[in-house]
Amino acid sequence: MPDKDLAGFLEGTRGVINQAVTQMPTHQEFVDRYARASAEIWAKPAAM
Amino acid sequence: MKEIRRVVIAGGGTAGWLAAAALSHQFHGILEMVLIESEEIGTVGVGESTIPPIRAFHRLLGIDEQEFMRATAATFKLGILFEDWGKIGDKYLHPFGMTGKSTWSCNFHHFWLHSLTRGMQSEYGEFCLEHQAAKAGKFFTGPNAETSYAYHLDAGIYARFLRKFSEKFGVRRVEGKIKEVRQNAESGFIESLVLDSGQVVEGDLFIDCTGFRGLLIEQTLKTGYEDWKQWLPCDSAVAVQTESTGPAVPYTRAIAHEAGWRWRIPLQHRVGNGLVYSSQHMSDQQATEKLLREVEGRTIIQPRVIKFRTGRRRNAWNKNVIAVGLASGFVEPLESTSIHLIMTAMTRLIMLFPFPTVTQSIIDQYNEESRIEAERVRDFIILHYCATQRDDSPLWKYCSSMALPETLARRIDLFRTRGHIWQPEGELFRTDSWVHVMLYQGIRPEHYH
Repeated sequence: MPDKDLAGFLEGTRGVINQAVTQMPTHQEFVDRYARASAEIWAKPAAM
Repeated sequence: MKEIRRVVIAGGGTAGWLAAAALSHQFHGILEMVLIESEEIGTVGVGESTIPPIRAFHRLLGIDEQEFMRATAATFKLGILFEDWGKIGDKYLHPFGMTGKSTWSCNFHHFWLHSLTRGMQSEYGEFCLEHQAAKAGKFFTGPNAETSYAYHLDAGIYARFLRKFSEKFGVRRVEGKIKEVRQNAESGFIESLVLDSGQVVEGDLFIDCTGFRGLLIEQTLKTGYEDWKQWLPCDSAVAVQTESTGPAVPYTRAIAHEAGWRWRIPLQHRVGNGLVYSSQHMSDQQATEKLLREVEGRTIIQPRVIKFRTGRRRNAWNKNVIAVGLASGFVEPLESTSIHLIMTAMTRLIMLFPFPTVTQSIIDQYNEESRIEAERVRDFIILHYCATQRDDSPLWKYCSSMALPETLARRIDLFRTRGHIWQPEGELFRTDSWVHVMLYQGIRPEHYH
């Protein structure tokens, strides 16, 4: 593959990924919004 | 041979209740199911990091993701950050999901390797969505999102969640310790379990979830164990939970040290930590002190030492006993495969369920599939230990020069010489996973496509 095509292929792939990541919320924000566990769950005895 | 009507699960914990959930969801109304567990016997309960197929398994069971996450204080996981494995100071993320775009004749890493020789500088991980999101501490999922992810979960709460699920589908829980296992005098098949209360629980098929001791599969049936210590020398772990010290990151950390490695698993409400080590190279006390010195955050519980033996039961299914979870073997938790292997054992059992009776051909098929699966996971875990330039301690000196299983040696050679990854059908760890670990732990192909 010519260098120009290879560079374009890589840059295109990377660009799509970076754009998607930029638009994502932080992990903590997403967890808080989507599936925050109540303190009642946390308070139960832990595994061991 | 008796017709299978009654299934008895010996032992609770993650393995027992996952088995109960899967079988009861599939066969409720057809089979009678009992699970025996004792509150006096603790569970190992440190398998808290998972891999993406857990989502498909949950979907099969009709488990709602948000309900499950709220109930188990789970967080999302996009991969594992490996630190100090290839060399001290190295750091790389093994992400879930695909890296780059492959063609029918050539995997993406060949294009990437070629780009390096043409002066185009980049990191291999830059071409993976999950890698970049994890690195940025970001996450998103939704109906149209294609993110590949798994969970960090609280194993104790998860077992309780699965218990509630299973009881809805008719599983009956019996509290008690098993004090006697009764076998048929002629066939050796197990017929009943006698509890310390004197209660007798009869069954036609038994699922052994009694952990490392393998009460039915080993202590009773003497099935035998294939030891993998020559390739996986760690045989101990010390675990402790700590308070969270900041936002939960969407990845597990696996930090190598002179005699093994340490895990860090962030949940919503706390962090699971553990130090895995070879007892030949580090004492329990040294390991405990090291773990407590290195964890962040205040400890919530006392550290607990767990002894294990890497390997697999020679036959996961023997007579009318199927060993699941730690009773069937253990490949150390480096790539978070413990819960996954319980799930695949259950899907395999459901597909091969011995209606109306157990036959030797079904047993043989189940055992063959289990062996292949376990050996493939084993090879991938060994790769992390052998692909190293570390020579700072006896453990790493040993690992960097040990003789490898022939299957793994061939894979490494194929990649090192020609950049190829050989991918058997149905293998858990796909091409991209092998490439990430090999490349970032110092195996660079001499030639590529």
